[in-house]
Amino acid sequence: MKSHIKLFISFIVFLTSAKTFAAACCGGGFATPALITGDDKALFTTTYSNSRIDTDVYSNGVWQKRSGDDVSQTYKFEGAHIYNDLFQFGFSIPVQTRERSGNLGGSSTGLGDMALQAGYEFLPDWDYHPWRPKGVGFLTLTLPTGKSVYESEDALGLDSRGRGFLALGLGSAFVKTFGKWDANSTFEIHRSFEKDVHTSQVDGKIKPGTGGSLAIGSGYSIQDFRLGGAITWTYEDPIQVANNSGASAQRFATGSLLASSIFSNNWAGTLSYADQTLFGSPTNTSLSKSFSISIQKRWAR
Amino acid sequence: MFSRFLLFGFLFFSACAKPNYQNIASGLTDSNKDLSGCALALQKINQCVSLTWIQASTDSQMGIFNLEFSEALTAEVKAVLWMPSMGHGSRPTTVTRLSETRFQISNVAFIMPGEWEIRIQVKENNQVVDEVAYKIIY
Repeated sequence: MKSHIKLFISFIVFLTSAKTFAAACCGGGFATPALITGDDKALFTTTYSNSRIDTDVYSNGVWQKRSGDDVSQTYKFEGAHIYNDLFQFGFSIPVQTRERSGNLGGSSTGLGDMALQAGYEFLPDWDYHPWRPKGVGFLTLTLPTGKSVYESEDALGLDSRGRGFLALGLGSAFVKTFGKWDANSTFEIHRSFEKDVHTSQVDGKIKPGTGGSLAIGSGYSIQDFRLGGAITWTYEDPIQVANNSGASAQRFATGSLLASSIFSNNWAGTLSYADQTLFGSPTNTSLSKSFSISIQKRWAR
Repeated sequence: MFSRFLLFGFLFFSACAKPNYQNIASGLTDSNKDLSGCALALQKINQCVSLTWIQASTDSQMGIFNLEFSEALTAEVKAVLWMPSMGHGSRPTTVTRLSETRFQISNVAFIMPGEWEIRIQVKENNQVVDEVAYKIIY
């Protein structure tokens, strides 16, 4: 039973990372690959998610319902492997299709922002302490392999599938079980680096700032099933674009519901629903509603 | 256990969003139209320009508008679509000179709803000599 619960907790951390940093607008957000938080040697996860923009929120906090369809489908491949007991390394490769309705609409498919990750279990839980959580710190390097909105030449920006910045993130995940209940929290901050862009819309340096997120979640397990929920608050500094001022910070919160099940031979599946219109005080962003399904294979130590 | 549940419930519901929806009809809302006199003044070259929509920009069609300058203009004119809050623009528009004072701007497409600026630029020798921003909510 205990191993089941640990597996589920690993799930929720994985999904929190994968979903909640996903894009509010224009391609992908800061990505964090899967973390191993259970007693596994390695894991590999494939996820399909379907995300539809529901509402745009202006910089003054006014909400406007999106009238046309703006849908993103993402296939994400993630893996992580333990090294020397406490260290781990991981990767994330997203492939995204963006679709817009209307005569000007269409679709575009390509690579999103890939990410590499190194983790260290700085707070092991070998003695099953009654309240002290397990803690895994991580460093994440996001590679600008997805075209950013600044580099897009498409009429509706459909070929923008990433933030487009090299970014370095630092964070930590904490997990703890209390009988059939579990709790988890993940926080991270990241710094994106400036780049030169020379397109028809921008000719000069683009300077992003610092961003971060905090996720808090909980779940309840019944035999091989787990139901969970999480809220993640996300913030991004304004982006300064060559000779232009007035950019605003972005802020939004994502609520997620998760249903997971363990199958045989360390296979597991998760269905999740994420909604950015339910929580927080969003500003200067687009809010999405998403469904996703993931299949995960784990290898025990 | 019950107190933990209560605490979690309180935290959960206190985080709820408070949407402030704005009803905007499809198409463009012109936030400059109630200004009197010269709404779009190019002060460095001492010109006034007016903007008239010929065809609204929507998800289904690209927009077209005309620019009418107060005096004859020999310099190059550009219209740049820019979203200041997000810090990005859109694809380039096409400028066609109709007369000494009138220009038509076509291929106007905004990549997402929100607060936009149409930056009308006057250029000489590839340098911007004057610029004015026309603010719209798309």
